[in-house]
Amino acid sequence: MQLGRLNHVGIAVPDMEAALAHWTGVMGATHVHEPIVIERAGILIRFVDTPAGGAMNGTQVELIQPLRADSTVSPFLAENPGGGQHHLCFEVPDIHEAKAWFEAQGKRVLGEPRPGAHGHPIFFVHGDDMGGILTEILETPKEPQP
Amino acid sequence: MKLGRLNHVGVATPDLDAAIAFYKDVMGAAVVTEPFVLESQKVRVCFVETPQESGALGTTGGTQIELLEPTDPDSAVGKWLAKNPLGGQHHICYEVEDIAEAKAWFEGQGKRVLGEPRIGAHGTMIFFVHPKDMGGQLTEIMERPKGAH
Repeated sequence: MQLGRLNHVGIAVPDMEAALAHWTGVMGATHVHEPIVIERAGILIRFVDTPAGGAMNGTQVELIQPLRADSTVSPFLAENPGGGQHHLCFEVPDIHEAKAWFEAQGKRVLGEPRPGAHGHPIFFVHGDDMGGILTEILETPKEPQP
Repeated sequence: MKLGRLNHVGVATPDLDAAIAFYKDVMGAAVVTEPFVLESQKVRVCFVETPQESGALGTTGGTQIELLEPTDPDSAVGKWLAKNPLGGQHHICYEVEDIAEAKAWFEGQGKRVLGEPRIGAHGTMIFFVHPKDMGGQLTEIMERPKGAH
């Protein structure tokens, strides 16, 4: 496998409105995408664009707020009530090849590939097998991201 | 202030050589820079390059992964690793055009800037902002290398 683009850094936040005020008001973000709800995971997501190469196509910041107590980010927020860096997401050309690759390396793939926040197939790999970083693998979108 | 380029994600590791092997052999990194010691931070550092463009595997120019191994257990990264023995995401670094203006901006917002601007791992001026003021993220602000990217 070859290392793909760092698509986004996932950041858990306890309060989306406060996080957006921080990102636009303090950090100076100019491009924030519309809200996305992932019911299965119990989370609300907003993507923040960053600049690269003269455009806003840098690695995104993914703000993630739980919508219920058993959401996928709730355990992290219980340990880090102020929020913080939750996962890293790298792109791959083929999600099934990537899953076979990580499994062959003895890494715990968490569940089957499924549509992620961008609508493209993703899976996660256990943080304890990945140098302490919960790692999301995303099949490179075939068309520009929404 | 306008949000700048996401220069790198800082990743702490207890064993830099093992981390480099992981990024090369498991993650498939094509380019990892030569490790060096950054005395001011008491860390041994290298950068894992990622592609800027989707699908342009093996190229550089994207947000880097900065691997950090403490050279002293009493350093900031050493203390962080004591709480997170496996390692993990330690900080996030954004570029600005002018380090002094950025410091004044964050201080004007009531954010705790940790010390004076100093030379960072890319050879330009940097400072850190307290994570408790930044949504739980230790945030590095770095003056954009002139002529790069």
